[in-house]
Amino acid sequence: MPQDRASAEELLGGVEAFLRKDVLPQLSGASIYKCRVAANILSIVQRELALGNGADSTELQSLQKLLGREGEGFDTSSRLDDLNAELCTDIRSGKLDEQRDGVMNHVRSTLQDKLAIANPKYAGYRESLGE
Amino acid sequence: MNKGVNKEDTTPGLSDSEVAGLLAEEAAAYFPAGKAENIEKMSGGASRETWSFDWQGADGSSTGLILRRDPGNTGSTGEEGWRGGKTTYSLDRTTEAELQRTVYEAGGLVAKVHFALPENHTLGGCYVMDRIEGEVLAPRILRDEAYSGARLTMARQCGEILAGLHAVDPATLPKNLVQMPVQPLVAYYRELLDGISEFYRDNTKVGRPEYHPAFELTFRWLEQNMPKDAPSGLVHGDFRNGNFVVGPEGIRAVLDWELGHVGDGMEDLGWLCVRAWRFGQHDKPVGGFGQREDLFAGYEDAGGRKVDPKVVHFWEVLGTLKWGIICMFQAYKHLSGLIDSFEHMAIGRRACENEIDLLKLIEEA
Repeated sequence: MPQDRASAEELLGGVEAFLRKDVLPQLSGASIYKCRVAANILSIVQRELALGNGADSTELQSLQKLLGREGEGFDTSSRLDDLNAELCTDIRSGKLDEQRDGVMNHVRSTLQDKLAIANPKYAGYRESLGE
Repeated sequence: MNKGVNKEDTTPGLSDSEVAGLLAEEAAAYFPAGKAENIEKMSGGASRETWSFDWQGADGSSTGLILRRDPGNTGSTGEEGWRGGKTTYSLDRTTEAELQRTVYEAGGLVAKVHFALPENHTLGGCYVMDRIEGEVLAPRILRDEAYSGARLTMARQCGEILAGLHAVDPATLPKNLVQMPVQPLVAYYRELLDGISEFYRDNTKVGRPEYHPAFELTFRWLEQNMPKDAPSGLVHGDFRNGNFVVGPEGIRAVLDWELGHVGDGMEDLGWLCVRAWRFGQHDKPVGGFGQREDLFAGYEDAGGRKVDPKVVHFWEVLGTLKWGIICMFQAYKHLSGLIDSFEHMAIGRRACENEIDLLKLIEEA
């Protein structure tokens, strides 16, 4: 059963605004830096709540295609773990050397989705989007 | 990176006034008649502290000085290792002081070391050196009008400084300086990545390893592009904006020699070009202040070996990988309980910034 409003994202947004608007101006010294980090963390978690599930299923589909496992259905996060483990092992052993372009494309789009959550302002991310 | 949070408050160690008292005693034993004044803690970290003071000589002279110390007897601070092992090839204060002396005597741009105390001293491993006045904070050096002239010359100057540093006679270097040519260095970061990931799988509630396919692609690329037959010599190991004391005319001193080792000097050139040190000045790949051509020309004109841009690129790739794995390591320090710092935890989410940069870097080559 879903929780009542406010949603998790809305709650975090409220606390983030409190930190930035009310708490931050009253601080001095090292606490300023810590308070900014705390507010940034809350904004990361909000983006993760909004975009995380979609990013995971896109990643899983892309991984299945890359590793030739399309028939296997996609349900759990442990499947994502298994296939990522396989991807990493195969890159490491050189097994995927011949498919480098495909691997690069998969890894790039997965990282773009990750950065859209972790730090959408990052210059390297904007560049990778062609901006 | 913030180094302000640690367990110093909860673990036994010296209070600030005890440090100041001991420092005054040690300085009095070393310097001729006079006294230590204006003793002030400049920064305190889990593993390193910097203090500033003046020696007022009885003859009326005044010398600005810096104490660099490990807060001894404070238990584990996390900097020294994962799973209790050594994470880093970083030097103890005694060896760092010895290295700094060697470079000073070879004419390098470094503060003069006056005296060093061993690890087992009450003050902890530490040394006292000249205080070189100037700006250290990288964003100010990159943006303030006062350093606009310095910025124009710094890339070339970095090349000149590095050429001198790399030419230091290996026979004069501290005996216990670590040999870290390219292969052991790559292996070292491989082990760190795997060790952190296994720790997460075996020891945390989330109970799964961490996967970084872009790091894997990079390790593969490094294997296939490893420079061969690199000459071996002194490497600073952390030569970048943030470790320079800068005045309006340029760099006055190079700080922080604790990652000094013996390896391929091109490592220093590549590290200086890693994006993390540009602080937003992306059109200036050398430390956010200059161009590669100027760095290379400065290096060669000052007697350094002919620079192969491909080799420097290799080291920029390895440097970016290193920085990404260090981001993981920062989060690990909190998650494994070595330190208590939510800011460090958040840095773990920055590993992917390096990954996206790495894809571009290994595609360009």
